[in-house]
Amino acid sequence: MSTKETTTPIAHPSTQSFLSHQMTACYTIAYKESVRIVRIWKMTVVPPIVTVFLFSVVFGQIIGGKIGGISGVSYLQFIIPGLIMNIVINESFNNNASSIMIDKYNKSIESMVTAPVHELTILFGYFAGCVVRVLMAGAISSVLVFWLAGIMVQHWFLFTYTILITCALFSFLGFINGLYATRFDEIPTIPTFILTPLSFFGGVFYDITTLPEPWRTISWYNPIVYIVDTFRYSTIGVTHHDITESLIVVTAITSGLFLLSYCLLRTGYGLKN
Amino acid sequence: MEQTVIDAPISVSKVSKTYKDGFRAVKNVSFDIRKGDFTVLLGLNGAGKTSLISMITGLNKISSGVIQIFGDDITRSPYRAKSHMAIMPQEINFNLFSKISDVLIFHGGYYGISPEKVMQRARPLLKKARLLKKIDQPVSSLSGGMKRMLMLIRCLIQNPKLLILDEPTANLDIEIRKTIWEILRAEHKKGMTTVLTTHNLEEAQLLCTNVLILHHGEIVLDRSIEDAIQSLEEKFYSVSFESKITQKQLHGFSSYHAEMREDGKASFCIRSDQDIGHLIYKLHLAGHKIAHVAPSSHQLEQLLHQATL
Repeated sequence: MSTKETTTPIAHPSTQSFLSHQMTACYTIAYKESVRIVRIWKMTVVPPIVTVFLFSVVFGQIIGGKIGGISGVSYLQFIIPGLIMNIVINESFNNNASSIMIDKYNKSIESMVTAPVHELTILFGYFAGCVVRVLMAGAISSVLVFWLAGIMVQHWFLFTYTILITCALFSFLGFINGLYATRFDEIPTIPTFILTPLSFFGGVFYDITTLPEPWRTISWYNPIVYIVDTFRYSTIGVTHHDITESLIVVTAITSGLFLLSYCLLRTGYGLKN
Repeated sequence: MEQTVIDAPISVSKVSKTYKDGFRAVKNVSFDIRKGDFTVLLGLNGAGKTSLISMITGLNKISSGVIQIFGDDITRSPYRAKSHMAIMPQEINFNLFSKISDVLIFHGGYYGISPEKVMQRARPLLKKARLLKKIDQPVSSLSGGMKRMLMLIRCLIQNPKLLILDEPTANLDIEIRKTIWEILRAEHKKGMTTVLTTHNLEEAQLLCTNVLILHHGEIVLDRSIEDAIQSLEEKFYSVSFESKITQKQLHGFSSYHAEMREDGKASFCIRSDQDIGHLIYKLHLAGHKIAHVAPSSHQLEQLLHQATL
């Protein structure tokens, strides 16, 4: 290149408004995540769709046909909201945990840390990436299994809010796991030993009010119970708990994890020496 | 240097870095880098260069002291301070599966630059680096040298006021090295302040105006390269001749430690009681036609050796 070549001046970050700069940065992180999700769609989008379809057919249609109804709906209709929430939980968590770990491994996170990007921008950018992944996997699965079970969404606002707040909760948890992890084998620890057991005991496949004590009381300490219950109410109108209380619990946990993620980022935990 | 220059591109004041295991990598270091300077940060392995650079760029926490970038404190006003500088780290730090265009767009986005503007700025640089046709290819398809070129281009699309380079040409072939040097010289002429760490002393002497030497976490030398070399008791010069000569023909110049090098140039050592003019005269008398005389990169090596004794 000749040094005389002309270039159009670029607005320098220091002359740009802080908000406009951070919005561009947030969009960039979300876009970066979306590109990654689409590039590896066989790993990010297809498996949850296949899983939820198989669960619906095997547990809902074949075994569920013999179980009969539960809480006034068919067994297939009963388990589908929980299965969709499992997608939201796992995909949000895995997206952030693996993405942060990969970015740490190839050191690409350094270019973000050394750039003038606010911690909130980073958090919201990665959260937006999770929303993209959840929408891609969750929307296709939902259309497929809702059609299979003849489910029509009953409360659209609650339906949307539950998906977004669950996505936020587990994206922040995944983010913390990604910051904490120093090796790739530390990533599946939380999904294997915490998320999967909580999901299985979270009332996806059974009505927790039918459990004997103390299991019924213990179950209410599982946050996934509230998520599944609220989402089930938004889709098929069936609930075993006060919806307002469930929303407060889920929103409070999400806020706590959001604050923790923010504080860890501020202190440079897992990113700075 | 204890006095802080107002709005200096980099102002480091009494900075120390102690790691969790108690190791003090940087000890109470203070210096200023002025606008338009091209400074080389030298030091032996483990001298604390990377720790210092990492604190300046915000990648390492500062244990004590203050670092300001154009007057903005890197700890208290990190967003403003970081917006002034671009960093080219030693290691490749992008996702190798990303497309070249995406690497640039992502990086520009972190600095609030739209994809259109990123490409507008990057196109001539990519053309210069022969990367324009590969723009939709994944980074993994590039050679090591091309990846480093891409890292430099990524820095320059920010249009930074301050450029920090950590070993930018390590293990690169001469062609890519020269392209990088050419780009760096052009940016320096435009007024960009640059800080370079390198083990290639020829590169340092060719590009830089100032030298900072760090030893065991302390600054042991902070001055212009010219002044520092002037202060040396022995100076090395590299002389090229119009026709090829052999080591045997330099036999009469043993008092200058004359030595033929692999690149066909001869190296001469001038002590403080000797004179370069006298050497040139003696070479002329011996019938050797001189094509070019230049200070050898050995001088920086000597400077580094002297400062770190």
